[in-house]
Amino acid sequence: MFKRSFINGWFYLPVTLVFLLFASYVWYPGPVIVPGAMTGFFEYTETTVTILLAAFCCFTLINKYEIELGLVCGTSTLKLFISKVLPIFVYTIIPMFVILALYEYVPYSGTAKPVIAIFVPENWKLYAGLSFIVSFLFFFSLFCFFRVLMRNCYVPLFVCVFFHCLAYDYTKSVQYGNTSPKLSVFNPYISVYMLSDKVPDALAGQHADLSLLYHAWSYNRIIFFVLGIVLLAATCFMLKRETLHKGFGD
Amino acid sequence: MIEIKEITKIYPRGKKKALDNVTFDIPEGIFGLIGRNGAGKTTLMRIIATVMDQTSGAIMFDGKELKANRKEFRKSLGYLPQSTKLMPRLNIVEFLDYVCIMKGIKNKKERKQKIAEAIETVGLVGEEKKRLSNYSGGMLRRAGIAQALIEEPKVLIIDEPTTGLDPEERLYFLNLLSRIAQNRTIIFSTHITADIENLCRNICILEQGQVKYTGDKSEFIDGIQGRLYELDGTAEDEEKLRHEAIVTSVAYVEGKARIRYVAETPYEGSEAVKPTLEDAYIHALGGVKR
Repeated sequence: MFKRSFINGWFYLPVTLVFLLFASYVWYPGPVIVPGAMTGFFEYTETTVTILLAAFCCFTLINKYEIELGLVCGTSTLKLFISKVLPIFVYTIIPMFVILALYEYVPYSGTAKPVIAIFVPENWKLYAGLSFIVSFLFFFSLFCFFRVLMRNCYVPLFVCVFFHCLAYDYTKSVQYGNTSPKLSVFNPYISVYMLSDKVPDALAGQHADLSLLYHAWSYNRIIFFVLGIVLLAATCFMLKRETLHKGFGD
Repeated sequence: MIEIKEITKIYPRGKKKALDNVTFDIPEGIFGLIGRNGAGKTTLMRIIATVMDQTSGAIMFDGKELKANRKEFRKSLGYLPQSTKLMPRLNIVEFLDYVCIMKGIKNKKERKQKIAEAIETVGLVGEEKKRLSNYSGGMLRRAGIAQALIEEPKVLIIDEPTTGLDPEERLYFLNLLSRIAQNRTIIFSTHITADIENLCRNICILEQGQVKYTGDKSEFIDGIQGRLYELDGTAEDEEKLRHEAIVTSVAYVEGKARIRYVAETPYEGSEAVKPTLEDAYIHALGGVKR
C-alpha cells in the first residue's frame, strides 16, 4: 500500500517545483529574471503559494472513493491516510530543502534584493526555507482537518489568503516605518524573522514597542509546527473513528 | 439472510429524510432494489455496505447486528458503488493488487492467483496491460466487479451498475451477475426494470425513502394481472385515461397513442395484455408522468 502510494504520488514533485519557482521570486530574484516593476506582485506569492500548494495536496489526498473502498476492504483508515500523507511530505518537503539549500551557493545578480533580507541578517535562505516548510505543514494539516470535518476546505482557504494579505500590509508597515502594525499569525516574514531572534537596530529604534512584539512572536514557528502535528493527528483520529459513516461527501 | 429493520436515515444537512422506516428481508440469490432517482437506493446500499451509519434501525446479517460486527461482515462483503472512479493511472492488475493489499492478503503468490481468477471471471483477460483510464464503461464496471469479487464474498452490493452502458455491455454485465450469483447474496439496485426482470426473484421497491413493495417479483406483477389493458387511441383518450385509470406507458407511433393502463374495467377498444414488471412498477408509483 505504501509502495503504491509513493508510485502514484510522483506528480507532487513537479507541482512543488512549479510552486517553488514562483515562490523563489520573493526570496531570490537572481537568475530568474524579474523586472523591477514586477517584484511587487511576486512579493505576495510566498505564503500564497504555500497555502495553495497545501490546499492542492489536501484536495488530492482525500479521495472519497478510495477511502470508501478502503473501509469496505477492511483496511484501517488511519493506515490508508498515513500511506497517502507520507508521499506528499516526501515529494514536497525534500525538494524544498534541496532547492533552498542550493540557493546558498547561487550568488545574487541584479540590483533587487528579496524583501525578507531586510529583516534577517544571515542564513536567511535557510530560515525562509524552514518557515516555508513549517507553514506548509500547518496549512496542509489545517485543510485536511476541515476537509474531513466539513467536507471541504474552502472556508479556511479563503480565511488564510485574507490573513496573508493583512500580514503583507503589516510587513510593509514595518519595512517603511509606517503606522502601527496589524497582527497576523500567518505572516511568514515575521516567523522567519523570529527564527533569527534578532531585531535590527534601525527598526528597533523606530518602533520600540515592536521589540516586545517580536519577542512574543519568537515561538511561533514552534506553535505552527505543533499545531500542524495536532491537526494532522486530529484528522487521523476523525478518519479512524470512521466519521465517513456520517455521510462523507453526501 | 440480511434483515433490514426499521432503517431511517436523516442527513444532517437540510434535515433530509432519505430513508423512512425501511423494513424488509434479503434472502440468498439476486435481490433487486428498484426506485426512481432520489428514492434512497444508494443511501440504503451504502448503509448495508457499512460505508455509512443509519440514523436509527438495525441491519442483521446471519442473525448478528451489522453495526456491532462491522469488521467481520466486511470480510464477507464486496461492494461496487454507483460512481466508481477506479484509479485511472493503474492497469487492472495493479488496481486489484492494491485492493488485495487493502484486504490484508500479504502473500504475493496468493494475490497473483486471486487477481488472475477475478480477471478471468469478469472476462478481462487480455486487457491486463491497459490503463483503467482507457477502459470502456462496460469494462470499468467489470473491473469494479472484479475488485468486489476478491476474497469470494458472501454478499455483493452493486449500485446501479448498468447505468450508461450500451445494450451489449449491459447484457454482458447482467449475464455475468447471473453467473456469479451461485451461493451468495447479490443486492442489485437499478432504476431500469428490465435489468431486474430476468435476473431477480425477490425485489423491493423504494419511493421517497419508503418501501412500496417487497417480496416475490411474480406476485408483484400478478397484482395487476387481468387489469392491464392496451389501447391504440388519441391524445384525448390519453387525457381521459389519465383521469380515470393509472396509465403505465404512452408511446406515440405514426400519430397514434399506444396507451397501457390499469383499470377495473377496460376503455372501449382496449385489449387485455400480459403485465410486465415495468407496468407493475409504474402502477405502484401512481402512473407514468407526462
